[in-house]
Amino acid sequence: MTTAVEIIGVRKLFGATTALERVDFEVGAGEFVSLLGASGCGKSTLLRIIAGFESPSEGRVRIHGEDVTRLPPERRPTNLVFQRGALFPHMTVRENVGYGLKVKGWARTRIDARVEEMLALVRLEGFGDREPGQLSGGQAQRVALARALASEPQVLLLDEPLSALDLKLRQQMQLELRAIQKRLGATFVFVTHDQTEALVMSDRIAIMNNGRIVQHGTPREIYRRPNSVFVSNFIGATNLLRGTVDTRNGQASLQTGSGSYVIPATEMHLESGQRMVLSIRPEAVRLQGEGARVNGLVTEIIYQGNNVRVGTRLDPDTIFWAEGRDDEFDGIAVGDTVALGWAEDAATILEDDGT
Amino acid sequence: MVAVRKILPAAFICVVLAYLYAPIAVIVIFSFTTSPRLSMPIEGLTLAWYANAFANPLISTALRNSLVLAVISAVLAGTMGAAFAFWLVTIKRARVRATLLTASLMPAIVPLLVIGIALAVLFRGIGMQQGLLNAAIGHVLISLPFVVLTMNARLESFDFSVLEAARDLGATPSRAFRDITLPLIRPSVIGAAMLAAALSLDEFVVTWFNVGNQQTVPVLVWGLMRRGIDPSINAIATVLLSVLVCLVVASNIINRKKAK
Amino acid sequence: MLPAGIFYVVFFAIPMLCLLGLSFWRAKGFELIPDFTLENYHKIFTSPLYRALMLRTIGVAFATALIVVPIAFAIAYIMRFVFERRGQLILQIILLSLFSGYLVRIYAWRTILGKQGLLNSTLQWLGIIEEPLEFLIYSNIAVVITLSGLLLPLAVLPLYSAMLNVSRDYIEAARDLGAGKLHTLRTVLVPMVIPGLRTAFAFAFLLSAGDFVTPALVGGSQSMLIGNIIADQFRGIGSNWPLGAGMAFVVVAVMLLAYLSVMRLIRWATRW
Repeated sequence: MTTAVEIIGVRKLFGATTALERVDFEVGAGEFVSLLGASGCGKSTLLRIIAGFESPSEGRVRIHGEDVTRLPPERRPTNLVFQRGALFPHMTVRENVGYGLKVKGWARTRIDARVEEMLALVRLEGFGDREPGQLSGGQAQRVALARALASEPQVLLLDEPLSALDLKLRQQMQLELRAIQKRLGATFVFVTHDQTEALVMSDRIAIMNNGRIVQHGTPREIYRRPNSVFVSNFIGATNLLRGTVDTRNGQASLQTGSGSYVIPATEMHLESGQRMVLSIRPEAVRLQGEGARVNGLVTEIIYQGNNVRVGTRLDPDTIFWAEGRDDEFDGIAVGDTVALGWAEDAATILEDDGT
Repeated sequence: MVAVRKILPAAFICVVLAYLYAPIAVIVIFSFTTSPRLSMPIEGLTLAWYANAFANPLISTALRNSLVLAVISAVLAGTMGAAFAFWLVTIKRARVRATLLTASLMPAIVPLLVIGIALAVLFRGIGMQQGLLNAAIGHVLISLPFVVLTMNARLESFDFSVLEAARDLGATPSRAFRDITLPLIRPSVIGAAMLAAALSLDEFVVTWFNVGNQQTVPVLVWGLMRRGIDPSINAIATVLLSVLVCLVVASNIINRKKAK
Repeated sequence: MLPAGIFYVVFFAIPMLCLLGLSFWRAKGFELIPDFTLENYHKIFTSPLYRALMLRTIGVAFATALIVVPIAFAIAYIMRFVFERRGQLILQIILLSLFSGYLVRIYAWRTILGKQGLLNSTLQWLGIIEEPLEFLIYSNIAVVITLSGLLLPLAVLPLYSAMLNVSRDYIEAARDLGAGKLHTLRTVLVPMVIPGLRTAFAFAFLLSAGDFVTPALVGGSQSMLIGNIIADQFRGIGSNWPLGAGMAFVVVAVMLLAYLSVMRLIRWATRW
């Protein structure tokens, strides 16, 4: 796989505040990569640096091997889909989609053919003569996508393009976007604050926090093997058990207020007395399950339709969640004491970074 | 990096501001210099031109007349314009509202010369002697668009549900107006009225065609200017300038206070 | 709404109609004689003097607009897209100059541009020139410089408020799609602020055509404009109100025509 985008040691300062701290990152050609993080984490700044709207205070940006750090946006082989579309209100849909091609000096007939092709791609055949004001939110974002894709950018950048849409439409558009990306074999860099969206669409996710990429990997890697408490908290719900490491019996365990838990095999070097956190996803927790065990007092039962979430108190400070199919929790009521368990390797040991 | 990007634009703005304010600076500075001619270098400073200006017997009449006109403009244009703007925002159909707003701004777009002579023709037609009253009507007319515009801007952001809340809590429409609407929009009305006063104090063209033999400050200044260079013009102008600037700045501050 | 509405009708709409009606009357001495004659218009269109004045007025108005609108556009652009929030403050400062004495500002330009005025005396004092530059005053140049200063703030206002409605996203989208800065200006920003541009141009063009104080104070006998002649018809020796009324309507009509052609031109130049 060749590399489409290389971010090399990029820093960005706005006055005295640091938006990005030395980011190094690569996006492979044909990859769908999401930059995921809360607002203000620097993901949009990074995207705008790739697009050319901000220049990095330090570092370089390469696209397919070519250094574009000093190139203005109009001379970069990237196109951006804006959060609110940014369709030119004084042009029709057709003129919007054809704008980039016209700027490039394409012949009229070629532009028309390409515009029709693009409108077909986003399933908006026959919308060419509409004004942007006559489009629904979903249609406007499709036109924005068609406009950005029309001149076949080497990298398509998307800045939370679905965030203004309602849930149903958003889910549908996620699948469509993914399908279009697969069909074109294009490189997509997608910025979002919505972890579900990132999990559903991406080949790879880069999680950002405080101007850094804190972890990147496939959705599965990120979800199953978060490398920090921050990531495990940010992606999905998780149970965190804090305590100190004990390696005396040859088998590492974590001593917490609610008991002692086996630490699964890890590449980390553990020493007795170290403060660590064990992260266990609620859906890995079973009633009377195999492996580690702990007793909890049921305090909350939340019915979610397909699933049920049960909150239990392990000790005065710790609420522990289990999640599973409805029938698994049949007959349990608030006030019951239940035994909880999980497969040892379903837990992840993490450094306690205080978050 | 950021600062460098802004140096050229900032320099441009400064040059333009210098262009706009150079004439004003000149007038103010030379109202205090001893040399009757406006030329470099400056020789000495004096207040003689102010004494000179206020020794002119016409100046007190002109001042009194100008103030009367300003007050009339402020009160009439302020109330009528505010009421008009209030009526405008209640119109449901956007197109009708936009058309009426544009129409109400017409007196600001038609050259003052045309407004001035048209009024003169009307007054002559109905046999009304030229004088202060005619000028006052002209002042109200040319102030109205500015009042309507500022009030309209304020009312566009006015949350009318507070009136419904007052009604819901038992207030009659007039009570709601007195208790809720008036306190909320009063700063804007006062601000707009002060703007109207400033416009009136400075108005020359419409006044000139309708005021007859009466004096106002601009008409007096015009007479002096026609006669040639007279440093007491600088003195009167500086006084007028100070009053206008105070009015406009105050109007702005009052308007802003509640607009937040 | 009623009082203001009546006021507008009685003191704005009706006077305009009276003025129009009067333009078909005749004057005999100071007396106005009701009539329906095209004599005034005939005179206006056949007199070489009026025609020359009309052309000069259009020329001066056009030159003023040509100076004012691009500068106003640049200022509005800088306030909106370079200084952003602080742009509001700059706008207030620019608008304040509108309220610093209309007559006074024109008079000040006379004292600046005059033969022994500030500019000439400074240049001489500094030894840059020997003899005063005479073209600075009582000339079309003086009229254009003064009118531009008077009308610039008025032209900034509509352009700035039009640009406030243009999200930066549109500019960036155009750049992202490959348009250079100038191309973006022409195909995206200018078309999106056409209403503001129209108002700015109207202010500069129409109001400078109707100004008679500026040419009277800084323009000599060689740079009188049609406004001076109209004013003379109403407040001068040998005044002729019907003729003046006719002229006023001809000016307004000609200016509107010229204005509409320019607007058409702008639209044509910015079609994408």
